[in-house]
Amino acid sequence: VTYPLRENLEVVSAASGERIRCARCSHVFCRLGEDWKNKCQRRSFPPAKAGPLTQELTGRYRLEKLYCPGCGALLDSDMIEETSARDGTAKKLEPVDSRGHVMSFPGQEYKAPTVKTFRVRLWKDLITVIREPKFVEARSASYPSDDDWVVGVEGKNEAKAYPIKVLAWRHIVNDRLDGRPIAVTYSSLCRSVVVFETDTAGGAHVFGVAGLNIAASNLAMYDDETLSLWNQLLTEALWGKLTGTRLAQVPFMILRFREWKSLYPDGRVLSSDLGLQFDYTSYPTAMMMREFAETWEEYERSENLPNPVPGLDTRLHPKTPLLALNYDGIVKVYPYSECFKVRAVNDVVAGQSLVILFASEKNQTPAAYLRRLDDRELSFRAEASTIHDEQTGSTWNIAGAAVAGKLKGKKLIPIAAAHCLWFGWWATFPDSVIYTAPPS
Amino acid sequence: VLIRNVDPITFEVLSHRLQQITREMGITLERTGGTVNTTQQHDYNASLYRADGEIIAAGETYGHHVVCAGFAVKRILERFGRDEVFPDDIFLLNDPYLAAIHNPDMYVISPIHFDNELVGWSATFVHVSDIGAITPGGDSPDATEIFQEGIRIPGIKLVERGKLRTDVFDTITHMTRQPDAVGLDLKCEIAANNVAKSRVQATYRQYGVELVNAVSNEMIHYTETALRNRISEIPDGAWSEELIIEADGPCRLALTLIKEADRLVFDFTGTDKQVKKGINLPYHGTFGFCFGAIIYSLAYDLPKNQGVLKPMNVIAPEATIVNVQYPAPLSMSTTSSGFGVGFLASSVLMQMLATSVKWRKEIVAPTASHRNCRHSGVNQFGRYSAFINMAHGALDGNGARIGKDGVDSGGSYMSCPNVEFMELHYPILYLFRRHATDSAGAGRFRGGSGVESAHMLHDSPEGKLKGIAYGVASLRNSGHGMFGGYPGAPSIMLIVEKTRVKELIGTNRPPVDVAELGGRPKLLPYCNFELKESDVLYMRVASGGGYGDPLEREPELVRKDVANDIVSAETARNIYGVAVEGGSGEVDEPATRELRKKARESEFKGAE
Repeated sequence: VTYPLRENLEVVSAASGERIRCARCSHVFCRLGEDWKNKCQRRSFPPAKAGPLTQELTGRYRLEKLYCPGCGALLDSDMIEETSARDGTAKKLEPVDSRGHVMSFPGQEYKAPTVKTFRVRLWKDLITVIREPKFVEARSASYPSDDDWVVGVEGKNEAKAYPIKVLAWRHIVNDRLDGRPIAVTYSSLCRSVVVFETDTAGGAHVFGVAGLNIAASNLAMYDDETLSLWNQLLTEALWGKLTGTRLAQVPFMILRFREWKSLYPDGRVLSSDLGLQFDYTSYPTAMMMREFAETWEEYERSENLPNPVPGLDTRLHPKTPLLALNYDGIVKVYPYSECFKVRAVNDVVAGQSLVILFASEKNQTPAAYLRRLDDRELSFRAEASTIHDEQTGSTWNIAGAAVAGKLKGKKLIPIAAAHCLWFGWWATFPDSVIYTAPPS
Repeated sequence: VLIRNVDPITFEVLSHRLQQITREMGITLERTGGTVNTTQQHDYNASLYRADGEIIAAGETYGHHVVCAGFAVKRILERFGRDEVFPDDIFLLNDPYLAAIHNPDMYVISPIHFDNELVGWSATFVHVSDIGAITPGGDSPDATEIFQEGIRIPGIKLVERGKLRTDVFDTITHMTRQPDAVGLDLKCEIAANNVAKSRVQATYRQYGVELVNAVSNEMIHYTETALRNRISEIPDGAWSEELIIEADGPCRLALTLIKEADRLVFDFTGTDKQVKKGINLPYHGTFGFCFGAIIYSLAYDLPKNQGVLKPMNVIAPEATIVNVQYPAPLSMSTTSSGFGVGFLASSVLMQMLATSVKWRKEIVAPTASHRNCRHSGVNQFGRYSAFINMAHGALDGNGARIGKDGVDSGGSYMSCPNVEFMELHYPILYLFRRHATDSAGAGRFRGGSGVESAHMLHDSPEGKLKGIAYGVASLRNSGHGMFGGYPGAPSIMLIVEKTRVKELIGTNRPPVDVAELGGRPKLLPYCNFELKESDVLYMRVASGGGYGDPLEREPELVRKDVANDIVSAETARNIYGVAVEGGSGEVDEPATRELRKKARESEFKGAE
């Protein structure tokens, strides 16, 4: 033995040069100068493996343990960032603007070309997104539970559901619908859900979490290829090579898994086998949430905001959940509570006749459709939780399909909308028009 | 040859005498200081320098300030020139862009003359109560540039030829929130420097200029030579470590130690750019914290002096967190990036020591420090304090070492007054202050347990105290494990607003369980906050990291930890694989063997 390298490892001289080996079983790892860690057996655990008080690191760090492949002696334990656990490196976001300036200063202001200035707190890959989702048949899926909420999208040939509990842990699912690349995105603090196509003139992009748009407490995203910085609610790049590029939104519904399955019995749901194993049966409450409220319910009730929103329009409670349309430059929001007063909101936005369907407050959220069907314009009304059109009396479900009556089998064209809490939406679109139901 | 030109006995006598003078300076600060920070918490430094500013001897406090006060002496010499430095002058400097580390640490520097010749300097610092910054007490989370961080003095005569310059004294104290307290702070520093001067002059009188100068020269030579010899005994190599501090986003500190022959190079290349938050550290501070790390690891038994600096160099890229450029803020530097640098330097030094048969016994699992809090406000007697330091860093658990557990609440720096003292002086009531069960990093030898505490307002005339949250904000602070040992629990600070604490106390139920308090807990980043009636501030400081595989810990040691509430029975089972029977508290040996066998098999099986 020439000298010890560290606990359980030593350097030995051999005819062919110096080698690092296990001091317990003499297993040879590598030449001196090479990284012995690459030759270890490796295993990563949730951080609480190191003790109940390291629970707070959940979602941010993993406990990685390195063992001698020869005898299993423990050589190293370290808390490593989640991203390092995945790809071996923790990269920092360095958005590059069109003149090639690199900006990596936290809290930097990014100017959106069309709207206003946003402050972004960069924290690349704070949350590890899903890049290669797996799906299972919904009818036989053991996860999620029937009462869990899902985001449902429908293509021509397939229907897919994404449990919100998974989205709460992972924020972005990079996926395909009918072969088109899409991203299903979610932000915990402002409860925003936006689905968009990720195809641009320069090709399809894969999205990751870049940090937080501070005032809206909303997801800032980056694309893998250009590291441009994107705003989720604007679906627009605000910084970097793709500045000004907007992505087309995809319509979706948010409803309980039970309801979704009954609408799409042949649909598929995101598998909970996602590489990084969190407790996908519950919402993450560690860290992020605990700063602001103990439980999700309390967070939604409280008027306290994660970040100040100067000048916030107080006509609505800041945490009012709503469906938001950005239709031909007109931005209009429909608070869930207002929609539920009439259950079928017949409205006209930017010259387009549309309807917001919201039959059951318990099991679904509002969804928007065009009222024009073939050459006819319909108008809708609700009796209890059943929705009819006034022209033919046909019965319609929340998915915009006529299920009984003259128009049975017909489908309304869905409108892409976002769901968000009021403060987050207002911080992005302060000029929004608020829908109020007519007095009954 | 370690000692040249002087007989070894005289050398020993004189070097210890000089060392002892710095200790006496410290005692003077403690006895004459007017604020708790100095008298109880010992947030000070006292050291002696040669005429050219080289360190001769330092007291028992911080390493980093010893170096920076040396830089301060050099800056004073540059500004005034020897011709303008008169006997019985005393200078003041606190400019962090010149030599200090942050504004509230006021360096008071006194030339020492003998027979009208400048023969040396003494220097002290205390963290004064206030410095007129945007935030009371001087650490300012909201500052985005140095101009918001208080008075900045590049060097001024506070005492001229023995006479206090009251114009200067009043000008400075009047720019603070607490002129009287700051005046007392400055005067205790003057007193300590006066003690140093008189003791050093007495030494010169007794032994003569030539001999004392020769001894101080040899002290530096001795430390340098001994340290170089030690470094030479260790194999050459390079070791790296990183730390993230969370200040409006992650700020990465990176260090590689390169050891070649008898030299150490600390290279901070890879550290993030400076930020608009006062966690930036000036270059001399980075140098100072590396000096401290060497003192604690390789030179703990050597005289603390310039000799430690000679074999080392520090590379810190400009405009990064570890070499801040004007006018970025840096008021929180000492307790954030400063301790961060100290951690990185210790960590790479420990990795280096592990390669030496002779030196590996000195390994201690390093700690990345803690969160801490200060208050300001009016106390129960109607008096205002700008600076009520909870000083809980003094209750950190220390890292485990080869063959020994870390010391429980051993403390990483300063001292912490007892609960009663704090309650007597300030309008607070502690709910508890105790070792946090399961906080110690597990290992064959476990880390020291850190302290958790909770306090609330009590008898506060204003019904509130201001608070500032500082320290190392990161979930990877606290102790890091070594060689398989687990990290200690992260140091956190929570404000729990609108609790039921008064209701619990009203019904005679001790409020010792945070979960029972109700209210809403909120993790505090770097920020100002307000502690109001019914709020509770919960703090958990750093705990030591473990050493080696927890499954190899002696079951008997685990049993003792369970009996002492350092480790819960559940953790004993889940992490140490030791079954401690509920009734008798004894170790169930067959069950333990089985638990450990299973734990090994299941862990190793899943490895790739």
